[in-house]
Amino acid sequence: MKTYLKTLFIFIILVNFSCSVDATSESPNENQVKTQKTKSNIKDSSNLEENLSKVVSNTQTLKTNDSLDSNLASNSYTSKYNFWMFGFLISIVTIFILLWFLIKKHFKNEELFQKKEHYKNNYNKIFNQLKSLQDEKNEFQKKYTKENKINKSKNDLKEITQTKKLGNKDEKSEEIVFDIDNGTSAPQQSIKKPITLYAEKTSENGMFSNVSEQKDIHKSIFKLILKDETSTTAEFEVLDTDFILKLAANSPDTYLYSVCKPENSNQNFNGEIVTIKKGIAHKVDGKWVIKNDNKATIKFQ
Amino acid sequence: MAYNFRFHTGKDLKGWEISNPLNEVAIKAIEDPNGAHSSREITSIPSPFARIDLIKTAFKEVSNTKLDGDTIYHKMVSDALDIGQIFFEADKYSDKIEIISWDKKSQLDELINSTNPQHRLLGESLRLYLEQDEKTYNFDKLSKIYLINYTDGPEPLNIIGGTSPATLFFTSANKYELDGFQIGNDILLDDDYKPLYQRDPDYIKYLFSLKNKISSFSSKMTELDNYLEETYRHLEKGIKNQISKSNDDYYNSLPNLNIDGGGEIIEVLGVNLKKAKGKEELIKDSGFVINSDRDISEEYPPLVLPNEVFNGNLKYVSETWDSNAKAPNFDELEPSQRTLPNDGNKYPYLTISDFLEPVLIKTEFPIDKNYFHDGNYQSNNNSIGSYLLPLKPLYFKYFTTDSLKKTINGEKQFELKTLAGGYVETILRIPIQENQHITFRRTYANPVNQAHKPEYDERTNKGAIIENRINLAITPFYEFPKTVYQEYNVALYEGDYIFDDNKYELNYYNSNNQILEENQIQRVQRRYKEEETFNMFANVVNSNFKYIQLKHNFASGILVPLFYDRIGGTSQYDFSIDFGTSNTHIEYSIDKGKPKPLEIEKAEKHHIGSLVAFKDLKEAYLKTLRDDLIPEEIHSDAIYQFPQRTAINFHKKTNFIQPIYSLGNISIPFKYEKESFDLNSKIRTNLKWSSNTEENQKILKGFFEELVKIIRNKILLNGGALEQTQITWSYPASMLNFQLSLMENEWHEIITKYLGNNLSIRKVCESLTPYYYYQKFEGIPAMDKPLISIDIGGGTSDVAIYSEEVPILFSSYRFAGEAIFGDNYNRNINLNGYINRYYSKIKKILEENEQNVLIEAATRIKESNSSHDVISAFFSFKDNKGLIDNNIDIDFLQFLKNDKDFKIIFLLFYMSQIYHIAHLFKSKQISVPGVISFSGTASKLLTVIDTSLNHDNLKFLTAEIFKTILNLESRPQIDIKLPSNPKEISSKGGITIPDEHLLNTNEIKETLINNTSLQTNGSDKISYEKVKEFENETMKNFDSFLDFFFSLNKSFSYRDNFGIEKTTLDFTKDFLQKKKLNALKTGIKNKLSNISDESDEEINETLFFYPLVGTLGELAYELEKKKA
Repeated sequence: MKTYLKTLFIFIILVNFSCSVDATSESPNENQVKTQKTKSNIKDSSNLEENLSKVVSNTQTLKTNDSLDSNLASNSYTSKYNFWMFGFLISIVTIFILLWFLIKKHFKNEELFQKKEHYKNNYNKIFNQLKSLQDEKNEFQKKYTKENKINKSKNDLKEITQTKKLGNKDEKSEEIVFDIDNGTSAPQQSIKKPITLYAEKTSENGMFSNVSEQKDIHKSIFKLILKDETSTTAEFEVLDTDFILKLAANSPDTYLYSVCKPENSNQNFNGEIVTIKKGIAHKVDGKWVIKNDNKATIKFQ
Repeated sequence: MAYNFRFHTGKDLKGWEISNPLNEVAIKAIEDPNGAHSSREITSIPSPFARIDLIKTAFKEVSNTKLDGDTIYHKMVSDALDIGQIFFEADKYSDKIEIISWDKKSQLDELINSTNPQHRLLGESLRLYLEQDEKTYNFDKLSKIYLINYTDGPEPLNIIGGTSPATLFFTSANKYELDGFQIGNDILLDDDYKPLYQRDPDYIKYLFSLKNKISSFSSKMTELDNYLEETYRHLEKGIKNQISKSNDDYYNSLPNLNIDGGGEIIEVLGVNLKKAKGKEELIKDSGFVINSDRDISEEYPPLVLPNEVFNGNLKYVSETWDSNAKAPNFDELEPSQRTLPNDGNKYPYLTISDFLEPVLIKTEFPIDKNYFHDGNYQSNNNSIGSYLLPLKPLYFKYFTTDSLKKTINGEKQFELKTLAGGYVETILRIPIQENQHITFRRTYANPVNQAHKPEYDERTNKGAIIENRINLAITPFYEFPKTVYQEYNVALYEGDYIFDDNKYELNYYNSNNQILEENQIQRVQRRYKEEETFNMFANVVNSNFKYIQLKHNFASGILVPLFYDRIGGTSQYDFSIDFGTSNTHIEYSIDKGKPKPLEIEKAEKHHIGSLVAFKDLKEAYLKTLRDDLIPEEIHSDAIYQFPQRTAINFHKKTNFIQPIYSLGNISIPFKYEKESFDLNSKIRTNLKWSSNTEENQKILKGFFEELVKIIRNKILLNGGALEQTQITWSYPASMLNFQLSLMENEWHEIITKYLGNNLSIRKVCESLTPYYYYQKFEGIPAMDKPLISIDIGGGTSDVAIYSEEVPILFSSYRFAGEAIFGDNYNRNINLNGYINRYYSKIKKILEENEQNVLIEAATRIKESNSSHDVISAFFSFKDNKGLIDNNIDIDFLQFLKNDKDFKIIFLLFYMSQIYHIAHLFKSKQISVPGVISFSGTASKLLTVIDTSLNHDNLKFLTAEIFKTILNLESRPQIDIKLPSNPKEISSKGGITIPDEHLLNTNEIKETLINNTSLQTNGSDKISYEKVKEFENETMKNFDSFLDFFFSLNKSFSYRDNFGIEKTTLDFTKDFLQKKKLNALKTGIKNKLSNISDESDEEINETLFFYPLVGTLGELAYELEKKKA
């Protein structure tokens, strides 16, 4: 960038010098005197400037000689005008061209910077999500081991904490964006999106009714989480909207117990129904069914 | 050729010649360029009284041609007659016109004497014409002119006509857009001209009578007279006769026409004008008069007028209804203040909006047609809900609720049906005269979305739908006979969450369509939306009613309950109520048959009815009625059954200082121990008479009332006769006299309130009744050998001894189920050995079988910290329908039978009782008993030590004890009766006990304080002052018992027969030895405390059991701890 600017600057100076010398010379002698004055004015400048002065001086000398040879002295006004206009136009055009390059370069850098940040964020996000999914998978597997059943209470407590932390956030499934780079990113179909569904009350034989993607704060009682839209298995938990909590805590027989095991009495309800262990529902003939073994475990607190 | 600029014809004049004035011939010769058919009024006549002349001319022209026609003259005649008819019907148009009088003399003088020169000029002009034309127009006989001002017109004064001295009436040439001037089908002052002979006969007669009243009528009003003569020819014969017969009479019969209904009488040429008599009598004969189901005493029954095309060809007022005419959909005036449309007579009529509500209330779920009228609802789509009847109470003023089931001319009188697009159409057919009906239809539209308030317009007949989450239940579901105290319990549940601050109200209407007065309805709220997401409003309605109007901020709807109407009969019902602290049981028999537990069977569908068929619906606001009122079924195969825990259910914040209503804000929780409760309900168990607080009294009253209401329904719904009913209620022997008296008053008051005064009410000590069951239904007499009846309840055991079928001795002591399982002597649930051992076990079984509801119930009960309640719950699982249906066996009694550790406790329990009774026999020198029968809930515990059918172990132990105590040579033969349903035996016996055996147990009560001291009724009392004197002797007796108990093991191995290990036996022996004295002393101390240190009270129970009462619970705890 700096090199560009320097070159630009030198070029402009060169052009300007040539233009100003030509434009202001009324006679070769006068021109020479003025050149000398210019030289004396810049003789304390840097080496670059000294070199520049030499180049300018040589050029002026050449031009002066040409002028003399061409006997332009008698037609000095016309020559003076054409040179100035030429130089001026060149400088303007050059400035614009260089400015254009400059701006273009600037925006390109900016864009590259943003992309870099974007890719970085996405990478971190996906990395975290994958890690989280891996953790969940591990925990899920653990839960079904006998050993884990024995140590259930400890793990459940851990899960309560996690569930509570996620609490309000995971009302809707988080969208995972895989748009890093069309050219370099992995094929989209290889990563599946989790789906969240909402179910209303259950039937006596443990079947969810009115399962949909829309949550009705007055009717949706359970949240079903599917690994992807083709999944026929879903984890479920009790929703925590105020209306549903009030409804379910007062009438747990009606709304909860056909698919949930209570860990304590509903009389302990003090504003929360915590899903200690998520239940599992299976899609059979288009209906979400919960077997006895797959009921969620809940706690009123 | 020159042109003559003149209208008339005649001699052409040249220059200044004398011309003749225009005469009639000349005027007639003038040709009207428009002919006489111009519709434009003639106005260019330079006279202030031109209209009078024009009308006069018009009558003349019409008379000379024909009465019917459409010339300008016919118009003027028709309009003049219209003005006359408006005068005649002035009352009808009183809201549209005013009559202004103009006095010729005074008002002319006023003009002439005015300071305003213009007024003077007008006055002079008028006087000029009045004087000039006085003969022509009878101005000389004129005193006043009366003008009709149309008050609804655009100007301050809109004169449409007035009285005329030349033709009676004249019109102004002003044309106004008149509204509401109509008689029959004739619109007055319109472009449809009507001759007199086609008008209302009364008006015709009136004009002819005026003709007769005005002297020299034919000369004064020649043109009109000619017109009337011509009219007469066109009249029907009947009217002609009336005119000729009673002209004066008719005139005189009409009231004078006054300005503003009083004061100045309107006259023409000195003859008063009259006004028509009211048409009400005529209209009463209209074909549109409502044809009511009821005997309506209204003087003027309303008309029902169609709001759509009606081709019934019925008489309206004086003419047939125009088939294209439509009555308005809405009239804001009260019916009595209304004016008939297309007529103008003031007479009541009814519109569609008088019958149908503008907003239709939709329920979330279908209405149960078994209990409520559904409006003959037909659904053509998948809509789930139903609709309340969008009828207004006015409908039921004329029609009974039964009319909704009827058809009229082959069509249903009322219909509700869905249309495409979610619309709902209501069709109401109102019967009118001549077997015809008016059909009203209203279409109701759904709101844009549920959050929108309903938008409707009654004027354009556009209705709206609103959906409400409601349910309503009524118990009982029948109409009360007049002889029975009327009391309905109504519960309204509403769980709206869109308009959640909507205020609901129920109005009740009786068979006369009168709204029940507020003093007949008690209103209380039991549940609150902010706590449970729905409200419950309880109404206690002390009157029969036919329908309910449900109202809220946005709509009203009608609920018509289909009450059962075949109640009562001749069967005799006997009930026996055993009210126990822990459990309550009721037995009944029909016509002295075999007793059985009180049931609400599946077929008995009218104990309670609900608006929504909720049985298969999982919604709390629908199902809670089972908790707040009564369940639909109570029987041995159902979830709920008798015996029922003695418990009551109410809101935590219930203020017992305020009124408490059974099945209103307090109810029996039949689901106790079976299902979970909401967060704000409080369950009170162990109801006792001993507490005299207001709260306790109201709770007991609520409990009794609900039982009696169920009994009442049982009788009336199953062909019973209330007056033949017998109610026997039992009381514990331990009850003090004053408590008994209180209890008796309460029972009597409640039973007579709900069942009447003519039935039989008996009280009986619960300990006396079991024998009568055995005697009557098991054939066990107490003739040759005495019979002992031992009733082991929760708190007390009562012993009754019968000899020769008569009770001869009674004794009672506090050594029963509580002594084994309860928290005696400051113990608590954490120190209960049985709960510590079995709670986890039972919960695990429930969990393994996914019995979440019962887990919840058990958890909650345990949290109540009452060992008694938890143990009761353990026992109840055996009979739990849900568990039985799922083949889950939780038999706590069986657990105990298999439990070798605890068995010694039950053995001690049984043997100590028999030991004590044997001493009682010895002390009273009663011969050896032949039978010992057991009853009471806790008596089933005896099976823990003897599971055999013949109870051989119990028999052996009993015989051994009697042999030892009575020093018999051999073990006597004593039979043991231990029923599987011991709690029910008391109630069953209560039904059959003869009246003569209903004695007070105090009369035969005896207490063996210790083995040698007998407290006998009638003898010197031994008071608690001396109780400590008996301590040592009691302890000796107890030691003797322990010696006997442990020594018996040598001859009758407890290990062999009961599985009791020696270590347990040794541990128990040591334990009892250590604890017995302290337990005895604590027992005495507690007793003194219970009687409030009234130490002069006689000792009423033996001290023998105190060492065991205070040790058995702890022993169980220690045995459990030892095992663990």
